[in-house]
Amino acid sequence: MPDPAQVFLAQVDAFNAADLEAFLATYADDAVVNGLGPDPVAGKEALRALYAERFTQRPLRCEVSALHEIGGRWAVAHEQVTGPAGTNELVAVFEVADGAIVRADMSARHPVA
Amino acid sequence: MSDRTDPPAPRRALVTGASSGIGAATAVALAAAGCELLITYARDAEGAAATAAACAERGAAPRVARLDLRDPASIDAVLEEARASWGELHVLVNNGGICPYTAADEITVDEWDAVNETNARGTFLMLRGALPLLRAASGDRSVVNVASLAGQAGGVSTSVHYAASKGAILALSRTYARLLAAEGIRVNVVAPGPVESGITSQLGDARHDDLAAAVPLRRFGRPEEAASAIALLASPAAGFTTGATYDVNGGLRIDA
Repeated sequence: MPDPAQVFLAQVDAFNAADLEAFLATYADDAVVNGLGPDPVAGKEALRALYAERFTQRPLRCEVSALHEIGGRWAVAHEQVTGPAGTNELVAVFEVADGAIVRADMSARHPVA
Repeated sequence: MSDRTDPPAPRRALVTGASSGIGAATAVALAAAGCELLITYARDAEGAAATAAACAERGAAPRVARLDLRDPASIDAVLEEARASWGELHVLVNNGGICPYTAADEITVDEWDAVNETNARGTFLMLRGALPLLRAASGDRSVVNVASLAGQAGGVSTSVHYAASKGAILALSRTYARLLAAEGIRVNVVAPGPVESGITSQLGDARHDDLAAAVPLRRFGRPEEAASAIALLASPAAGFTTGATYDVNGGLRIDA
């Protein structure tokens, strides 16, 4: 079973490759992601709808500057995510169970000057 | 009939200024006490990530949000995140703030405003904005505002605008303690003296050593020593305490 850091990094690799299926494969079917918008994104199909559009946009890049794995359950990352509107810095907390992300909390985007 | 009892509902806590120092130590202490956490940072995302990791090691991975205490819209956004996540709040720790070391004659109007709007107004807006969430929670509810010895006795090493902002936090805390007591919402203050932190690291070695020598306990405090006081006041164990100021200053100020 991959550990939380491995799952998280597979998710980042899939994001950077704009590989939607590989990206979604890192999430559990009932995963909940907070911080992408005003409301939580619940479920893999909702994530598919969101990221199918996101992955058509360029630039598309996530760089991880710090990663902590804790207790075989969490990965906490400091990331710089670049999209059409620029680069944002954020802190993300991923909870992983049975080799898939079940919950992710992204901090409010902080534009990088 | 079953002798099983449901585990107690988690206490939900919001801690500002948690990327380092007292705020980070407080987040870790509250995580160890079993709280669910939303922590905020102003600029140091990497520090916030480290705090989040330390909290997760204690069994509570927090949510993390960026907060500019000088910006009312940013305060609203963080409180909205707490509302959307939990719909209630048991503990609010207003720790975030800024502390420029500037000689009194050199403080500009803009810098005065920045310090007081961030520290004093930010604390007020967080507290006032959090009231619907505190009222929505059941059981013990606690606000802990982090002031400073500078706000009680005047700044020794710190600047006049910082001291004024912390004095304002003392006054608004006592006022809210009176306003909210009938609702069972407690408001207390922790007033640290010199504590090793990102703020005091701005002091040069000579000033640091002089100040440490002036402390009756002959040293700076550690962030964990302020955090343990905050965690106590945040807990139901302090359920009969409101309007109080808990000094963590190594004996620099001893009340009659």
